[in-house]
Amino acid sequence: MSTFTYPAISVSSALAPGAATEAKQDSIISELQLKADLTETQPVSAASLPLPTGAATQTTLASLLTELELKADSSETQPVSAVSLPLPTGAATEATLITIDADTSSIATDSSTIASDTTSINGKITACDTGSVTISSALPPGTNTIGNVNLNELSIVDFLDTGLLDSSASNITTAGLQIISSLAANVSQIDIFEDIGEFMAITDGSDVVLAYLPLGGGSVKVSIPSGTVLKLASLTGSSITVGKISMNLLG
Amino acid sequence: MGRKNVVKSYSIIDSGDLSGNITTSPTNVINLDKASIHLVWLGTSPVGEVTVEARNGENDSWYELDFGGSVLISGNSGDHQIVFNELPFTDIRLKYTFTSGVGSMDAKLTMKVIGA
Repeated sequence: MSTFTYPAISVSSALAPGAATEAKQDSIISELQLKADLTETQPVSAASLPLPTGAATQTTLASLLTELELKADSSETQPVSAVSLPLPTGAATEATLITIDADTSSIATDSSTIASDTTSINGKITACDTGSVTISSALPPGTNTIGNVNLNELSIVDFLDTGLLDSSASNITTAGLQIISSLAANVSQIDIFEDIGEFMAITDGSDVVLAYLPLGGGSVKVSIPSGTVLKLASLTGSSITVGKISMNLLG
Repeated sequence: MGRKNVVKSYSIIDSGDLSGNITTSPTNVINLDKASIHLVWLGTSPVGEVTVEARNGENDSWYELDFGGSVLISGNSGDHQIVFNELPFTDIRLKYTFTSGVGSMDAKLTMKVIGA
């Protein structure tokens, strides 16, 4: 049952001046609801707010900062634990090292083989290019047969350009008379046939003495390359004008 | 010696029809200090409003009294109490303004004088 009273109770007249009214209470309730719902910014002013249990304190953070600075400066050893660290470009990898290990093992094996093979070459050398072999010292005396030595290997490779030179027609001067314009082959021996009987020498195109000829003819060992210009020079001090000479040049 | 007058309770509305408006006859209260009206209704969703009017003399126009709230009739049954702590007028009457629904309502009035 509801009760309605006359006269109606006037709140404004019943309240003392300054007392809270229903309108003011409604306003306060609305304001508190906004704050309770956190739809309004809540101004907070406090000289010291208590931190919840476990919250970071200034002391803790300062300690952490000091520690981090030491690590950032690398003045402390940094323990590193990693399952897999990336290698820089070009770094050796496990696969590469395995290959190198296998190759070095092969080298060791081959080196051992080489060492054993080169300890004694008896029976190892079955063929040899003697043209490339230099014999640095004389073979020791012995009775072994070393094969056939061809003593008649030399053959005539050239003659005087004139064949038989008559000195009465072509004087053999002290400056030298050209007798061969260009050797046809290498010459290792010259056989001289003459009835001049004077001291003579064979020179090259630059008047360098290549051989002194035996008086009355004979044989002389030389080493004159193919193409050389040969001259015959008088060593008497004057031109030779009597007698004939011919030569067999062997190589 | 003080004397206290009490007006025996009587119905100002007896089985009033809530399907329409109701207006009671005037009740003279000039010699009385306090009164109360007990409203009781029963129906099928009756909806309406009860007001009390007063006038100062027969030549005055009726004016509605303020109870600080509306006396509403709703629900299939219920009751209200209207208390008059003072009666500074000559006559009062009760009115029901229909809105919807049907039902019946009784209104009983009692009045008294506070001791001299």
